[in-house]
Amino acid sequence: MTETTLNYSGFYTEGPRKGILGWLLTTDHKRIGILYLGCIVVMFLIAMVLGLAIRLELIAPGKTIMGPQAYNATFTVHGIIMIFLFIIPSIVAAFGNFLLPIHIGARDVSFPKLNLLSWYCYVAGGLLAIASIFTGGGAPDTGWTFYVPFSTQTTTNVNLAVLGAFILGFSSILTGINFVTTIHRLRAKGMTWGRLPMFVWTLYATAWIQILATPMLGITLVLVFLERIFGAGLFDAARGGDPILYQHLFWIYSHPAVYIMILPGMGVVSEIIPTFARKPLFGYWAMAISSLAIAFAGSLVWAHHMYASGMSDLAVLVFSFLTFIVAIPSAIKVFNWISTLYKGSIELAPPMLFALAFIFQFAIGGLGGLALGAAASDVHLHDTSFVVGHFHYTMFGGAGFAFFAALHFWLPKFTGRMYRHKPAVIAWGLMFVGFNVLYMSMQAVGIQGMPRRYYDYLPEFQALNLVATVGSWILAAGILLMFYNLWQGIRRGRPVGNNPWGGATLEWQIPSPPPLENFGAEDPVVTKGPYDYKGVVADEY
Amino acid sequence: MDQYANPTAQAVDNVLIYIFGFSLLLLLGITVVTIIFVVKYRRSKYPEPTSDNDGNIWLETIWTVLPVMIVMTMFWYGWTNYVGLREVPAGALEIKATARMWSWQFEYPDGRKTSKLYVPVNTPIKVSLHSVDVLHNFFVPAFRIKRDTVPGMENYVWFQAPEEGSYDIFCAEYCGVGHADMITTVEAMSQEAYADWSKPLEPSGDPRGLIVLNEQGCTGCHSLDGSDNIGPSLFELAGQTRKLIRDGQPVEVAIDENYLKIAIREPELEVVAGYDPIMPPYDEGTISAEDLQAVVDYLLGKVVAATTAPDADQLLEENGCLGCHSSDGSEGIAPTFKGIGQRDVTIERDGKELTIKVDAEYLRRALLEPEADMVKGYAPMMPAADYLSPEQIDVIIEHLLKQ
Amino acid sequence: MSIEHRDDTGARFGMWLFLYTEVILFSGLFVLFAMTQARFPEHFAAASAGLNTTIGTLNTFVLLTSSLTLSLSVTALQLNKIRQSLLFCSGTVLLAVIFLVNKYFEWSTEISHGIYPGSDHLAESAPGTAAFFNLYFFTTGLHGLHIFIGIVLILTVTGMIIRGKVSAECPVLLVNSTLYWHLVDLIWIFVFPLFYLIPRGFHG
Ligand code: HEA
Ligand code: HEA
Ligand code: HEC
Ligand code: CUA
Ligand SMILES: [Cu+2]
Repeated sequence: MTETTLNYSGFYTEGPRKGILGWLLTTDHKRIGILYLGCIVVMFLIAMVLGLAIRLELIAPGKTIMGPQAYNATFTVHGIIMIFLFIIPSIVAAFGNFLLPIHIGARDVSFPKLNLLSWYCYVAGGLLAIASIFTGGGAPDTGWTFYVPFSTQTTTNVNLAVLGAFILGFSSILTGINFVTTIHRLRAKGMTWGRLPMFVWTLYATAWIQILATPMLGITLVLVFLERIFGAGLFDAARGGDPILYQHLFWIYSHPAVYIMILPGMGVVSEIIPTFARKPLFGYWAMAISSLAIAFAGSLVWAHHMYASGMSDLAVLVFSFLTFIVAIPSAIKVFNWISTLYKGSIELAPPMLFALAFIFQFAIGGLGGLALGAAASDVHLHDTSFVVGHFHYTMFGGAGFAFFAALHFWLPKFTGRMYRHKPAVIAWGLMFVGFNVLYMSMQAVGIQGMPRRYYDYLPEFQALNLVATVGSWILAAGILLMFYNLWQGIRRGRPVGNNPWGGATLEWQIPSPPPLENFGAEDPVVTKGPYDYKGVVADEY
Repeated sequence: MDQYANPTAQAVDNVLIYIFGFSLLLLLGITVVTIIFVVKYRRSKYPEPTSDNDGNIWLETIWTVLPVMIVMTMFWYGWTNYVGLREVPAGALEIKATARMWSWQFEYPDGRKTSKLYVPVNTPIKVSLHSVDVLHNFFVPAFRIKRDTVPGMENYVWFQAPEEGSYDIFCAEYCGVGHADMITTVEAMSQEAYADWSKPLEPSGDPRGLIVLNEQGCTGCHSLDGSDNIGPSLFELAGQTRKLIRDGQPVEVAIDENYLKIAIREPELEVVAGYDPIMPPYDEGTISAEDLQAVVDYLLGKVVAATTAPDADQLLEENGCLGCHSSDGSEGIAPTFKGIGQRDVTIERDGKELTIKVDAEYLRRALLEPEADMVKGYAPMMPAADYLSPEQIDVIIEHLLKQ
Repeated sequence: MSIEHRDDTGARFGMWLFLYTEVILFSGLFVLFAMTQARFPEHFAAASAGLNTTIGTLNTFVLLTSSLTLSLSVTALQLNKIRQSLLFCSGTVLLAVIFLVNKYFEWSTEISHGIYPGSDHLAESAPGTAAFFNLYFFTTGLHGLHIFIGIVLILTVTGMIIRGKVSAECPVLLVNSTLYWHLVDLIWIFVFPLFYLIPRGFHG
């Protein structure tokens, strides 16, 4: 291959300003998407190193590489970064920003300046969260859930972390408002609701959750902050408060937030599977409606995190029931994906491999969620490694793998260059094996009764923890290879045409990388559905 | 393990097996079908799709209704078994558990306190759960029970130990730096061994008067520590006066032997102002003359209770000191007690650092005002030990100085 | 080649969504209020009786009037009566400042009595009382912050009217500021009875 070149065409060179300012002051949705993508990947790498450190500490009982205080800070920061700085913004902010306007045939989002502001909120929130590690009384040690009364008593630097998460919430709200407005107002001529790509539907459902749920997190975190500054005692039992009320307020946001993470991932998979089966998505309306149903029902189940907290048994009954309701639309989605494969023409390209891994791992995570949703079994599983396994399966095995699938699917569109496929497949294999070894053992040791957030454990849990740690190394090897390969692809990959995969949505009909206002002088007019592959030919690369 | 003797574990395991079993089937089905499709319809074999079917209302209905039915059975089974975990069988032995950073204290009906939970086998035990600081969680994997301890609120769990042995208790709600060390055990003993264990330790240690007060149920209405109850407290009566209603007239008398004897034998004659005349009379047949004398002597403080001095080791254990401080020299979140009487400590006082020799005065400050002198390198997390009596504090200080 | 084609309906739509999030932000505090009130009705009644209803009522009228003036300003702008519109804007700002001044006096009386979040006085008083006043300060504080933001917003828009950037043809910024201001008003309509009136009905 020739010299490294990063001289891209398209929106990389066009625009009112040149150089670094052209990026920092841009209102172009594609540049903002790329800015997000860069930050998110960096955050992800930082948090992954912390995850690796957690596993190293747990390789054997007793103190291995760090003491209890360091361990608590490590999993707290790992959790905060992974949730608020990686997985919640990941697909929405990076791929959503880049692709949503193109998908609906628009030149940009409704509020481009607000869009930039929300990126700055992300950066500011991220910097505050990182600063909390190095300043004040040391890195926060509350867990990402900030449960009171502990979080109002600890002397570590919870204030900055809470403030950071609050500002990140702002970023999320602004993006949500922007997307809902854009989808309502800026669809191109002929882009009816029935022709929206499924990715747009899921972003739409997600955006509503962001708008409706995030303010609750905001006010809750502000209260924790005020509690710490003024010692008001609103959650302090000794002074008339109620610690359980805090948990309600926290989960009213944070349960819907798990669907902020997974819905866009489901959208990505719903794009990839039809493309590589060359067949329309099975059950379009069932898929669209189930996305909205997940968003709606998902807002009503928050207290399933609190069966053991001491809330009333009636509440346990109600929330357990609602939790099972929310499993239905997810099941519908899984069945429709699989039916899409039936009688297709299936190519196992790297994005497709990640999408299939998504289905498998999300199913394991989701089915584990059923055992947590049932009142009796949750009593045993709550706050054990099983829960940790469950949410890594859904967040990482699900949403995270969807993020990787999206990277492999759309990076050629973003950059106009193709990565090498063989290393990508090897990386996928390593990740798939490593991931399942790691988190399956974690679930198993949880069933045996190992509590979570333990830096030290009893000898009977040793074997499975060792296996899990080894799994994390295989996984790490896979991830490193994947990022290396993608990086090489971006820098010196083979050039690709408009449509390397043979996709039928609008982004594949414009150049890679797309020009400044996406569609040139003429606004596009849409005449067919997003999965109509007749006559679509994939470009050679 | 005999499952039937472990009712809570059985309730949970049934649900776990049901849900995991179903899940495994579903997962297997999904995976196998996916693999078959991917292999069968691979592009090398079919360059173009052989169908462009994009939906089927019947299929959609089936795979909506079927999962609804499946998950509803899971929900209902999970709920009914959960109810079993909440309904404590009649006649359960009740033990109070108090969680605090980072240790457990169990208190039995007779007031005895331990840091492990001692129970008889095959007896339902109800553990009432309390916390004095932050959230903790009482988790016994062997019995599949788990419940938060919430400050300001009482929770409970119940279980029944199937056989003798010790079962781990974990704190499963994150509570700070000592969270992972907040581990203790349930010690299940045979019924006989338990009866033995729970006999009063020194039955003869108490003065006769106190025993009578307890046996006759006096303490059901009167406290011995000054707090008010249905009847007036019997705390340090010597030298006090009482306002009485005698024959409908208010009078004030000094408490003496005679007064007390009448108050016990014929309580309706003189009623302490502010109380209802509900105390029953105790005649010769109920309390003998000697016992009456013993009670009166005890109430007037004429016999000093032959109290055994509190045991320092036990105090340190019971009050959770060892949750943070070790006694064997290992350094954790707080300075070890080993050698503490001999060493110099570097402390921070009013922002200045100074090194001083450990003495009784310093230790008293460390216990009662832990924020005043901060041992260098440790976080200000030690709670003031003001819930200990002065006597207990003296015992602890003396003990520590000898280390 | 300008990306920003105008979409006033879109802008108003977005503003409505944003107002939604504000409602939810405050509803968190209201939920907390309701739950705590349910547990300490007597304490809440007593504490509420200590608030200054006169200032509260006065402020309610001030805010309602300011909402009116700002609406009038929009109407004036749409009729191209720029001077009138500016006048009404300034009137609104004036009323908003009066609101904050009243609030200042109300707060300072309470603070001079040792009632403020984290004060020793509150730490010693009954749990319900402390909770009431803490919530009172947090809620009115957050609301006051919104008033302040509103003032800045209206002043900015006023400046833009003067420079002709907001006009009869392009009024959407003023319209959106008005929407925001109505929301701030609306929230006060909840806050006022919640803290000043309702708890008194719950004498034990
Ligand atoms: C992306 C994130 C994500 C997703 C999608 C989910 C999805 C689900 N989660 Fe999970 N969950 C988390 C992230 C997520 N969760 C996190 C982060 C926590 C812990 C937070 C903390 O404490 O730190 C948690 C904790 C958690 C708990 C609390 C556990 C405890 O602490 O005691 C519960 C309890 O009900 C639960 C349930 C569920 C359920 C029922 C679903 C359902 O939506 C799953 C639906 C999916 C399926 C059912 C599988 C797919 C369908 C099939 C394979 C078809 C066949 C199925 C049927 C016939 C039913 N989750
Ligand atoms: C999307 C979210 C996400 C993701 C992807 C991960 C990824 C990982 N997590 Fe995560 N985890 C959480 C979210 C996530 N986690 C949350 C929310 C919690 C709860 C926190 C709490 O309790 O409050 C948690 C808690 C948690 C625990 C439980 C701690 C405890 O309860 O005691 C553990 C334990 O093993 C763990 C491990 C890991 C591992 C091994 C990974 C692996 O994926 C990491 C694999 C590592 C690599 C792949 C590294 C490879 C890369 C490099 C080596 C980079 C090289 C360096 C540079 C170029 C700078 N995590
Ligand atoms: C929550 C943890 C915790 C508990 C429980 C606790 N301590 Fe401490 N203790 C500390 C810490 C931390 C320090 C060091 C910081 C300081 O001086 O306050 C300390 C300091 C001390 C000191 C001074 C030690 C020295 O090296 O000079 C004594 C004595 C002491 N504790 C005794 C006790 C006794 C007795 C109890 C129980 C009644 C107890 N502690 C309970 C955490 C605890
Ligand atoms: Cu106590 Cu965790
Ligand atoms: Cu949840």
